[in-house]
Amino acid sequence: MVKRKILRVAVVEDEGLLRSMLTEIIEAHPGMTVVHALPDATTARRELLPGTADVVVMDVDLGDGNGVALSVVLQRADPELRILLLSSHNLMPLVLSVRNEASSPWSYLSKRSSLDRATLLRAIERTAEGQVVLDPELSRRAVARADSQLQALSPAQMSVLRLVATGLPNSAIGETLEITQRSVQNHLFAIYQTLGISSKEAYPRVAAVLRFMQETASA
Amino acid sequence: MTAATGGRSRRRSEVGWWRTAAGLSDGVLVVGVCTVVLSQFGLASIAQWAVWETIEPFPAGAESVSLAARFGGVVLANVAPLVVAVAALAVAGLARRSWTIRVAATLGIALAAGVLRTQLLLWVRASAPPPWAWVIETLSGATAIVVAIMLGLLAVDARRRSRVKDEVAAQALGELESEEVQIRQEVSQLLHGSVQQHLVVIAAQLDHVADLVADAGADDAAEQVRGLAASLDEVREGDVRRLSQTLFPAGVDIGLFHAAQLALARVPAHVATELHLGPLAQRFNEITRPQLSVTERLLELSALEEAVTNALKHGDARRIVVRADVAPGSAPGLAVLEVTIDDDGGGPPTGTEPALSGLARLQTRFEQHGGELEVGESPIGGFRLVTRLPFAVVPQDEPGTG
Repeated sequence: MVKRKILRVAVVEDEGLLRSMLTEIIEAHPGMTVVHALPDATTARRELLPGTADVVVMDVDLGDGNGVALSVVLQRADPELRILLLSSHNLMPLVLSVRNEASSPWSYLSKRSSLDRATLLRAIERTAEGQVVLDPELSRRAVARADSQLQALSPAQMSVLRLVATGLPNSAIGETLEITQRSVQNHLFAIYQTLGISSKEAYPRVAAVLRFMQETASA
Repeated sequence: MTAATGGRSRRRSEVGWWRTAAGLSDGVLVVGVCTVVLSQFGLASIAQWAVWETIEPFPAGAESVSLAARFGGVVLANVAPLVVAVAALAVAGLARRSWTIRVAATLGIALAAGVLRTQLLLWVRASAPPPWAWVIETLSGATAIVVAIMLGLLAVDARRRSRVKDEVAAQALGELESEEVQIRQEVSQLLHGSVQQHLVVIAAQLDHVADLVADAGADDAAEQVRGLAASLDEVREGDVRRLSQTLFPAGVDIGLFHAAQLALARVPAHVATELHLGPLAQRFNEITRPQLSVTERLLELSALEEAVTNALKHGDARRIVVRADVAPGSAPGLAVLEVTIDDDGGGPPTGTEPALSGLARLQTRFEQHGGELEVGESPIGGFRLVTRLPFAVVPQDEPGTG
């Protein structure tokens, strides 16, 4: 996807207060603008026309339908549109289960665990770039499932993958884990190799995050 | 290899008979009943002829006809009216007519077929009987035909009444289930929303009180208050959220397979889980064209949760494999969702009745939806649960409910 100068964001959220807060936070970012702030699925279907937004911040539980079905419909009309799901229940595995019906992978944040300004803005930015961002708190609590290939990762590699899943760039991962960017890159290559992901893929990070989602359990 | 929970084989047999009878058209049912009754009458008539053949000398002229020909004539005399009556029934379509037309047509058919039968019998006898014998023979044949047709028509009416009752019961059940779904969703949202938020606020207030108490120097009391706040959080995180999830599983309003994925993601990490969708199941665009109603999805999820609970609690399973696919149904526009859940645990404990009581209730609910539930040994070593649920396929060009 071609990166635009100003990122056009649509917010579909039925709770008025939260919709206002999301709009305010996004508008305060110099590289983003809110092109739609919509309260329900019906209005979103009518007003969110193809080509008018780059990313949709979508609540799952809308008053007149669910945001998952709406996102599928919107993305079919505009395959370039990126989706960032928000929900109060833990629906993170949906990112995995919708991948056959979505034109590109979705990101997910929980309203209850770690929805803060920085996390939201980073998630929007990374989602617009085609990355998959998972909820930091839920990712931190996710545990590798028995008999999965994730169990073959070392603890350090697992820590790197967890942070990749939250949308952090290599520099931030290095700072968080107090290791160099080169070490982060080495860990990533090792992760791709263990999980059978080619580093020449267009989005190897996305493939790694989806595997992380697939092979972990919600703790 | 699967076996049913208690009494399944007998019930399936009954269900099979009922489905067979229910599948017959009204005309075929009338003709079937009529054929059975008239066959009995015909056999009785042939038996009576056999008795007379031995005790009553034939009139002059009849001896020239061989015994085989006389037997054939009697059989023909009883079969021909049956064929005539059945053909007339099929043409007249009496099952669709009012009772006035039914009675009038039945009397006409019966009289015609009765006369035909008597004339054929007289041909075998090769002599003219007294008039009273002709009348009695004709009336007996006609009466048998009237009884046969009336029994057939009564059977059709009885089945129609039964169908109406079934439809009314199914409609009532559907309405109850819709209400149940709505109430489940509302209570679940209330628990997940308001109740949880109240508990969060109370816990925060307790923490604040604990700080005040600690500032006043009562550290032990402050610790107790913090313990209460922590207990409240545990209740909120555990009991309230679990109850909310049980009432209305997350994702059930999005699609069955998505909700199943969410349910399997909650299985503890030490258990390997797999979800495989067959080729037809994968072709269903579940999100924008939901194929199953919310009630049907809740039923399938209940079976999945029951199987997972049994695998973890009773079987100590380390692997759970779920397979789902769709097969063509018994009629155009119908399909059957088949879900198989295998685990590698130890199966249910000895004396399985209490453990299977939940499955028995689910089995009843599947049967109410025209489906079935079976349990047995899994090829991967533990327990296998198989559900089959018929559903009406939503065409791809119809608007979905998503």
